[in-house]
Amino acid sequence: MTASTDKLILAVPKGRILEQVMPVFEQAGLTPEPAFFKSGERRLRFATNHDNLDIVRVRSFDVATFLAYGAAHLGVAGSDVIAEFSHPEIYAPVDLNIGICRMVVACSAEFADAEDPKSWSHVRVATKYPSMTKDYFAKRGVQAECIKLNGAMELAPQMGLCRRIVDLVETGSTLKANGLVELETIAQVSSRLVVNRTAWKQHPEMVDGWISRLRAAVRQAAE
Amino acid sequence: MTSSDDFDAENSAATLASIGPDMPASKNVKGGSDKGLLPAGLSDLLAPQAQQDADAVAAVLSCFSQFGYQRIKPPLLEFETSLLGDGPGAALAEQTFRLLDPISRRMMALRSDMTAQIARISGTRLASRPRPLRLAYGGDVMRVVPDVLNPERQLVQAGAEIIGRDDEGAVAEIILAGVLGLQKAGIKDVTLDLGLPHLAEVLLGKELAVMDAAIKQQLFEAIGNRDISALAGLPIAAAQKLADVMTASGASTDALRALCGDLDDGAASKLDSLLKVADTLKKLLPDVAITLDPLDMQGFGYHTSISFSLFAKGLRGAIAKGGAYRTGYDEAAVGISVYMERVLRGLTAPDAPPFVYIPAALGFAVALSYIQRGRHIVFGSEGADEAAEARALGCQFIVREAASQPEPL
Repeated sequence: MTASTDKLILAVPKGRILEQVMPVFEQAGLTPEPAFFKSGERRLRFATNHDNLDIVRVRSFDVATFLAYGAAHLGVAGSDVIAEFSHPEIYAPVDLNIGICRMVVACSAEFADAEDPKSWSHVRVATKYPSMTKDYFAKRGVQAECIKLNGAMELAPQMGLCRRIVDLVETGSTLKANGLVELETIAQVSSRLVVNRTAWKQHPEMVDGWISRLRAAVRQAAE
Repeated sequence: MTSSDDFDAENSAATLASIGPDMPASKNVKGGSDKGLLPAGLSDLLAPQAQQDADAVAAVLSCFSQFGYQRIKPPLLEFETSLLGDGPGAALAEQTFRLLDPISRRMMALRSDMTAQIARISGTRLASRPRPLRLAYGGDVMRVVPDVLNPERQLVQAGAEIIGRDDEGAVAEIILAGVLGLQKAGIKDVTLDLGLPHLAEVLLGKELAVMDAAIKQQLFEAIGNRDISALAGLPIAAAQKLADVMTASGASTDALRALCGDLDDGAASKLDSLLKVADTLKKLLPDVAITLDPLDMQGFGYHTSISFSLFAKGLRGAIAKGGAYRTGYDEAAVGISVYMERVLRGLTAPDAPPFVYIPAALGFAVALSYIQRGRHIVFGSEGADEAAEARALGCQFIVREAASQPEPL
């Protein structure tokens, strides 16, 4: 737990999602201190224009970890990350409508025609999402042996690691460039506002305030 | 062997190491010894925390005792069929360690929650006692897989149950006893969250039975995530009512009270009893913040009407949970379980009592005279350098002569 427990902490992922979520935050009246945007800044925790809200920048998977343990109280996380961790302590009340993509099963184009997904009993899959992959295949009676990779999943089939991968796809051009084709879609993915359950119950007014401001900002962005 | 086969072998070894038991780590621990290594989730509690742990459990249980709950002590192991049968036990099957009894050759289960044992005792040995039956318990339980917030697999559970009642009064009584017990153990800033884990089912009514499986999954995901927009978009007649309840949840009872009029009788009466409990406790516990979250269904596998969680400032997760349920013997009951590990994290280190060093030369008689006066002593070793040993063993005082007063070190 943080030293000051009356302060809420918002965890945001680095990179692409951060760029997309900033306008939503602005619309909701949330502005981090200028140092937050400086590229050479070594600090990881920043103040905002709200005294009772600090913002931290972490890796996208770590947002879920910080939230689950109550180290951060609010966060932005992809529904892929939320589902992979599936922590009961995390609520995801607002779809921020950014970071939209889908999670798919893909395989080498050369094998695609010969593949009959219905006949599988065991598959070996390279993925960043072993838990979701196992669940997805287990539901149809297929045992999935997952090779956990943290990036460049598309490389796995051509290197002979496995035939199939489970990965996020936005346009499909990376798959295509690496000689892969989509077989099935596992889930639609977008970024959500996530809330730690305990924080919501202990600071209902503050948390509800942010939820309704962000919900309104998302609605406005859609119009 | 092809290169892909090579990879296979390596990969499966890696998989085994990550999920398998703690194997002799000859490769990893070079020149070290893993004699001190314990299995995952288990630890030694040392001084002063072990004392603090025992004191906190005693404080909570003495409060339950003051409320008229009688202490019982079930065994650590039971036959799997009785421990994990109906009622609260059934929800715990996945969390429970099992071992084979070499005598009866039947499978035994190591308790993972004492509630199921209390239900068994109340339905068998105490079946003929007048109701309501008020029972309290405290002891260790083992969990196969620890939950997110508790890496421990051995937990200390302290709790109380009323068997034979599940009305608002019984719920309020149990919560009151729990809050006072936690305060007595030294926890400050307790907050209470009240829920109705089956309200969603009541609101959905007949619709639930004929609902498409995919829609049902989306529905419970939306409720679990508190996602009002996803909920409102579902083709379900009760979606708007569920969304209304979600919006009205929070620190104030007014919004939910206003909603009661719009709901059908079944749901309205459930919500009404929740509000009654909140009103009663607000008066009795003015410094405990109360939130109402009727649709909270997390971790209340076997609860049937009102459920609750207690939180404390600075402590992650609920420190106590409970609610109304049916025992496996079809009796109404209300219970509370306090998670003592989490409570312990919220307590400041206790002040150790001052220790008086009694040199061996003075004899046991002198030591006893201090003990009888309620002092804490450390008895010296034969032939030791007295002052040095006293300091090394953490004493604050030393007795130099049999008749003299203890001197500070």
